Amino acid sequence: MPQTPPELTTRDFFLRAAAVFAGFPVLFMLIKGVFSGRNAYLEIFSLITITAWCLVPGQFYWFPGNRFLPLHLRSWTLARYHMVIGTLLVLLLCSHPFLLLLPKLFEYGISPQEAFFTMISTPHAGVISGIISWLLLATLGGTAWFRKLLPLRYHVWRQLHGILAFLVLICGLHHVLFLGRHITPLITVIFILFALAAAGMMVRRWFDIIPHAKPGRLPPSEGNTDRLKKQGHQPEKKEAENEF
Amino acid sequence: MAIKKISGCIGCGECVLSCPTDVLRIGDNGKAEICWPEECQLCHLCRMYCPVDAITIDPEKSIPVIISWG
Amino acid sequence: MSSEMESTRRQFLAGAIGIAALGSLSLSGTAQGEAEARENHPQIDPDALSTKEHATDVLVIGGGMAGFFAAVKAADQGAKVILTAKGRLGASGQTPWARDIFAYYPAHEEMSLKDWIKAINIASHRTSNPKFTRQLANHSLARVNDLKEWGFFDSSLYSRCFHHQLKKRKVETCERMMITHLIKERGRVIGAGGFTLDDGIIHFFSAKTVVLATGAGAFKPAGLPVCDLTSDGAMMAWRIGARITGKEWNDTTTGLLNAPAATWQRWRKDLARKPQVCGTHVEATGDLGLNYEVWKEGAILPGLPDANKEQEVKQFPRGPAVHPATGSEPAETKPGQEPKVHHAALSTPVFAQGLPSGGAGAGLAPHNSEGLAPIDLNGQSTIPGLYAAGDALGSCVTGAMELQQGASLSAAAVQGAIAGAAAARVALRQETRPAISPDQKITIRKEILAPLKRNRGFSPRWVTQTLQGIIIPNFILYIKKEKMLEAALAYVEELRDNHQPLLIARNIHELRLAHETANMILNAEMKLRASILRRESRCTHYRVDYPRSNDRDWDCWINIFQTNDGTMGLEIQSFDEEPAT
Repeated sequence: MPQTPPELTTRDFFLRAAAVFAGFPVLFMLIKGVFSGRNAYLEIFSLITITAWCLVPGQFYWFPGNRFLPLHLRSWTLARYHMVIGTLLVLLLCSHPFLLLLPKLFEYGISPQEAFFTMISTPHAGVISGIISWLLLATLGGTAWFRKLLPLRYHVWRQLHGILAFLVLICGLHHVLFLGRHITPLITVIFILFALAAAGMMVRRWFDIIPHAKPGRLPPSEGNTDRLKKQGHQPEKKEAENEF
Repeated sequence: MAIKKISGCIGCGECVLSCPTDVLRIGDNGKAEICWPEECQLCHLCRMYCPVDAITIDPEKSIPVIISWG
Repeated sequence: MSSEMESTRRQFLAGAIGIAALGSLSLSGTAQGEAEARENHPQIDPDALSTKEHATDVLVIGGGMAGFFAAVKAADQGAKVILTAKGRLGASGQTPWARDIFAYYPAHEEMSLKDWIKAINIASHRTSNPKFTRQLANHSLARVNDLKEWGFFDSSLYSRCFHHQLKKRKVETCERMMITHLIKERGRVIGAGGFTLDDGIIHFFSAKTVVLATGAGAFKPAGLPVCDLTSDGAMMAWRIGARITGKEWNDTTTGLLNAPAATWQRWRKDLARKPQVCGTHVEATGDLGLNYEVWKEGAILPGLPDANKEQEVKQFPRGPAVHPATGSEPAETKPGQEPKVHHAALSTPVFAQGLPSGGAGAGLAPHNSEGLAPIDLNGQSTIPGLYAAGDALGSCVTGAMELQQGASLSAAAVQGAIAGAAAARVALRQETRPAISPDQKITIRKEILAPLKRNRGFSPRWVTQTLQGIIIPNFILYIKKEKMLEAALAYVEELRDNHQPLLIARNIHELRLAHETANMILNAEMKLRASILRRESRCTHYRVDYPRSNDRDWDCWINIFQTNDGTMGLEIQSFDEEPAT
């Protein structure tokens, strides 16, 4: 009796995908040998911020409409993950300029207010792109949470959401590459590849390009995967892993 | 090695201004650079004035130190 | 050092299988021994550096506590004030490390003012100037209250508070500017010249009066954050004829044996806090006991069971006196008086974490004991129009000892305020501002830029290291004897005559180093000559060949001046005598 491969649940998929995206930063930091010199808070803070940034391209991967994903995944569960992670990301990334200043409350150096003022008034390209990304990210978060309150039709909102996400990716990447304190050539390459992949997925979705669309797949619409699942479509495990 | 590295610099120039021994300068990329670490007196003022905690300092000095005894 | 050597050796062994060792070996070779004399390849064109001129009533040189108060009080008098600082306002020299400020609260002090002044005078072997001690006590509370009002005590970094007050008073502040020349015309100081560290622009200031608040000076010692203090103020004042006092005294601050350069590790317990006010507490610190013990018995080694050792060290009879070996304890107070003079624990530095090594304060004198010799309580120097305050003024508030916690910062504030106000009053009375003559400007510009223009010569870093090697060792500066002092002086004279004129610089940073090196050479000569002259032991001056204090012959300060032929002249000024002008 041939063994049927265990079905990949949405949860499994998500955990694996998140591990791929978020696993990198930990790896990098270990390779680079961090935890040297700075205090524990700042190291942990760095780790969390880098993890958050690495999950940003992930968001482009596990958004519900991504047709790279195995078709049986439950769209609404995925949407929920997308939303939870998204919320977390927005909160973390938007608060990181402030969290960075937190130790100044306990040190006898410049005050957090002074540090913040110095920071935002520095006319460095990386700072400016950081401020822009912050504003975009805040807008992205705001429009996502309060979508229901906005006088926008769903697909218009989705386009807006996509554009904002894309801009956050570009500005954020600029900010990260110019100001990131753990940036090395290797990490630069990997971050650019991550961003390119995310942008690729975005563009593919945008122009409805499906490089290896399978026959029998339904045109993109809400909940097509669920429908497929109901029809008893069983994707092979191999395929799932490849796409992973 | 005295002042060891600057990472995550935003180029505000506070450290250049506050270094009593003129160790740092803003480089061509708009970020602070350690130009003359030999002069570093390990006073940590640059680190204390840095708004983003970008500076790490090593207790050793890069050049031989002349002391009264030891 | 030893670990460095070891790593080089390891690299060498590893290099047997690769060519990497060749590279690293040659690299460490050049790093260790910078060529003694070499060709100069300037990275900037000295002739392209522009000149800028300023005119003001009062010029304040130095951005520490004394300079800040001088500028504030001069501006309050209605004078136009410019303040220049070699570093950042409130963040260069010793200012950023001063945490305690002394204030005399007349109502609350246990010790009456008279007793306190007397205690200081006795404990300092009469080297203190009671008039300045009294002035400090009378004005300290007002200055502390000023600072309280301005938020000085809210942060451990002072730059912001200082900037805010100066901005309010429209004082022009020139930071990162090294003043190298004071300018004198017909016996009066008329301004100063220097250059900025960032762009090398030559600045001339014509001023009616000048307040020097440039701090003291050392030989860029390791372990104490005073490497920007190279006695610039006193040296340029000497060059135009001012009298300098107190050069024979020494600060005996120790560093850490395991990491001698680690200023922060040595001081952080004290530095990582906000400043605070302290009251009278006369305590003799910084005597030469440990230096003597190390000279006799050798350095304290890490790894030895030193708990016992420390006990032994503490058993040395000591005090503000001359030296343990002499056994003299002059600081005893009369039975009726409160015994207020405490003796600090001798061996381990107060804030240190580990065994001490010597020389962290190499070349510094105890606070306020060296500097321009004052002719009145305003801090007026022997040159009309030139004032000094704080550590730049040889006011001898606590004499040649550290006796009162927080007195140095307080004295800087008090004297700065008084000198600033006096300078402003004189400036406002004086109607014309003599212009700096074009010839003088050309000469000064030439002198400032000379190290950039020399084709070959000696790097300032190398000359400084050589000077440090001559002057910092324990057996020269601390445990003195005539023969060694003469020998060191011969070395220093060699540097003065044959190396200083050939200092080279490739960029503005090295230009600064070159001028600092020249000042340190001059300062070294002063320290040695004054030490040779004082044939006794007193406070922080210990002569092996004259181990006892000699009150009959040496109840006096030593002042250094420039003779008519440009050499160094020394004179003595009795403790109860008015200064020579």
